[in-house]
Amino acid sequence: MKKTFLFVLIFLFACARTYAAGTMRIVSVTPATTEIACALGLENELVGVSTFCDYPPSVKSKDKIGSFSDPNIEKIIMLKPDVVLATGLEQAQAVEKMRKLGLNVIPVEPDDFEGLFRSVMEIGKACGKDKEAAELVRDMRRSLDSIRTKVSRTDESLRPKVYFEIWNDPIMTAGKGSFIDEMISTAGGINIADDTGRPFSQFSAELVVARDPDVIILGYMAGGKSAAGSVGGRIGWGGIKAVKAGRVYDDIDPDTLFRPGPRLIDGVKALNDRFYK
Amino acid sequence: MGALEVKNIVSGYAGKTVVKDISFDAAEGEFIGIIGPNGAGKSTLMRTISRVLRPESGSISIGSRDIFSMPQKEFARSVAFVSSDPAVVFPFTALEVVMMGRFPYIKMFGSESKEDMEAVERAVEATDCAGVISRPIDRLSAGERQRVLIAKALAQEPRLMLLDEPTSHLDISHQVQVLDILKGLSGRKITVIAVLHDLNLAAEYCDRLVLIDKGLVRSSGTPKQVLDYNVIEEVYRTVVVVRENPVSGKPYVLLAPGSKKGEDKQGSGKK
Amino acid sequence: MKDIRNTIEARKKKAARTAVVLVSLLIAAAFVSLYSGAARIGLFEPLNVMSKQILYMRLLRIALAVLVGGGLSVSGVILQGLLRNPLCEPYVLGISSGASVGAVMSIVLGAGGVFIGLSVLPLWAFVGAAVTFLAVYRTAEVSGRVPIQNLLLTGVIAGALLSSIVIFIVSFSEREALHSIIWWLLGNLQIFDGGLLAFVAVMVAAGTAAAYVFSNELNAFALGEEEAAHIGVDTERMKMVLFLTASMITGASVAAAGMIGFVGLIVPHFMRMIVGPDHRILVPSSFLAGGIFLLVCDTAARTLMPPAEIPVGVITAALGAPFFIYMLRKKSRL
Repeated sequence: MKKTFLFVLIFLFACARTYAAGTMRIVSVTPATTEIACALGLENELVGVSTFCDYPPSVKSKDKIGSFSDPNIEKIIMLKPDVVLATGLEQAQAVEKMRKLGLNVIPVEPDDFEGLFRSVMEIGKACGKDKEAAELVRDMRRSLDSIRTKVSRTDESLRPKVYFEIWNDPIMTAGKGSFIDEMISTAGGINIADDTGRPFSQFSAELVVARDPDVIILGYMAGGKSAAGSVGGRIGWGGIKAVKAGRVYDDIDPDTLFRPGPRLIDGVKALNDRFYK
Repeated sequence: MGALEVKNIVSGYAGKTVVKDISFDAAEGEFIGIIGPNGAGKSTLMRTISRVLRPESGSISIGSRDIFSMPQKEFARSVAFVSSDPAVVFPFTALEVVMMGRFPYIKMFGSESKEDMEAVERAVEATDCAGVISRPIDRLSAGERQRVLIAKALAQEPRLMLLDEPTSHLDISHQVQVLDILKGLSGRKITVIAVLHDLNLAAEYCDRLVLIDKGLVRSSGTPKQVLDYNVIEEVYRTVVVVRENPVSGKPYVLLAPGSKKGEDKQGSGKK
Repeated sequence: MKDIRNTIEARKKKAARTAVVLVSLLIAAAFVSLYSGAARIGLFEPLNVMSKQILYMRLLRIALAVLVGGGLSVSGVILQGLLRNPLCEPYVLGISSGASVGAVMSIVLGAGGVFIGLSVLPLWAFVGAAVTFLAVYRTAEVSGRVPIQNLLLTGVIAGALLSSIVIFIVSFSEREALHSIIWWLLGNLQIFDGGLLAFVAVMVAAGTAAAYVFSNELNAFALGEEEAAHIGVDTERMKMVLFLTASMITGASVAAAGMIGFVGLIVPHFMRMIVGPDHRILVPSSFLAGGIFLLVCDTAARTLMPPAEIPVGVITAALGAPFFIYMLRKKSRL
């Protein structure tokens, strides 16, 4: 008797939630897809997000389906989603599993802006927001074009050489084929590591000295210390142009650099701003 | 006043007293055999005399000095220990192992002095292992290895040498060889205390025997006194016959197979 | 007498010969390493400000490689000797896992912008190593004694526990921090901090000196712990001193360079095959050989795929694993 009562209660509760969430039920297991979904006006349709999803801030109060690297598939199934937004690379196994269980999974793994635009269109299509997706892509293209125009008007010899540090111990940078590399060149910089064959790798510290960048961007917080101080304090790095000119920056929100979503435009703008200060 | 004095030793392992009350002493140059059945407490006694175990009560002294108040190196210069078969894991040569016996004499940073070399040489000579000293210890036969380990103990130039079943892995000829070496030490005023399993070899070589049973000294004295068939039958629960070796005049113990001593008979023996 | 004197003479000769060979090899390796790198600097080129800086950076890195390689090897010698197990390596007591937990905490907290600074991570790693050692040693203690088997078991369990803590932290950390932890764990000899290098130098030098001073004691431990006591080694004190020494060296190495595998395992082995088990020769020659080995590996790591660098642990494993298997097979045939 008691059990039946409990069941009814849970059922009612579940119904109420379904009702409140609207018609479409979307689960997003990556911060980037969460941002894209929200930019398409799907915030109310999101019924579950990962613990890493923190933008826009309102999504933090959504149901959590586990972490980015370890999504809880049972939890996702219980949310009865119409669409699951995921990434194809780190979550390949989970995507495979969810598909076997009959879920409609959209894995996106863009590694350049064109890929990102395709992902946006794909998500828009799957969630019935084709029009909004097309609009978002158009806006993003427009913003990028305006930056490109601005860059093309400056003299090529004024383009700064840029060293982008993803991590400091060991020092790691972004090479050819990475989003960061494309963002640097779009923002009008020359990536000193673009002859590195792989998107992410440990980089030769002495080569940073030898290639003498005009600007250094840290993709992480230098923590307490001034960014220029923390990099300039490295043995051998004191003579680098960027250090001498105080052009070491750690003040760009890493999420606008590493999260393949609409805010990458802000990242490119921020880079462009640091390059031509 | 003997070279070694063991007084009312109570010893054992955490929560288990094995040696319940053992006293005996040994004079300079004496060869004493410790005998007794398995589990009697012989090894525990030896581990206590060699300071591996600390006794719960009682005292052990060498030349009237309490051994537990001696610094480690000084103790190693007075007492050497040969265990039944330690495994040497790295391929040290036999000579290197013998030289380790000089450890308590070598100062930090110091190299071997002339005295060290002479002591090693005497030890190698006394144990007759000159032929094997350049070979790795792990390639020696059991008999050769035992002689090398005795040489190492001799290199310590001890006054007292303790051996726990030094012959247990050896065939008869090697047993005799090892015991002859030990017997010869009395000439160098080294007191030898050895746990021996073979009662006949013990009787043949030892000046005195200490028979241990259930953590207590059952009897001690000359082989003739200790190897009384009543006592041996009771302690070992086996029917034996004791006779005299016509060559050496020492007692020897014969087994009477098939007639295992029963509880009742043992009881009657006590009367 | 003649035999004995000859043996001692031979030992001294062997020590001198080994020292000459290893020191020349070390100098040669250092010279080659100094003039190889992603940035090209010709041997006869006049030096400008920049190439001076680069050579200086390489010099520091060479110093770190030699210190860490030599240190890990000496640590391996000590642990293999004390634990009487030639398969032991510097990471067997869980020290490195403790260092990893410290490093990971510093990265994770630093990613939140709380603690990080350039030399904070090594500091955390070293504290992690030290705390782990003390905890393991105290746990293994039974009524004033530390049985070696207890210590080994406690260390292995602590290592497993701490590794799972690292995995736990990693699985709950942000994506970039996660990547960097994995890279850090693979080990690298990048050095930007003179203070850190000095710290490693002091720890490794003190540790190697201690191991050398107590090489007779280490020899005695080869006979077994009780046997060592019988020839006059104060075993409990020596174990404390030597385990502490090995842990301090390992802790400092891991703190500065992450977990670089195989060096501390194969170098002592290899040198034991060449110079024999006597620690009076084994300790200093393992230090030199370990330094040479890691220096060569690191030079390969930073020059094989320019401008990218290969994690040096990948190279030591690539060279070390086949060698180790070969040795095991050879040994089982004996």
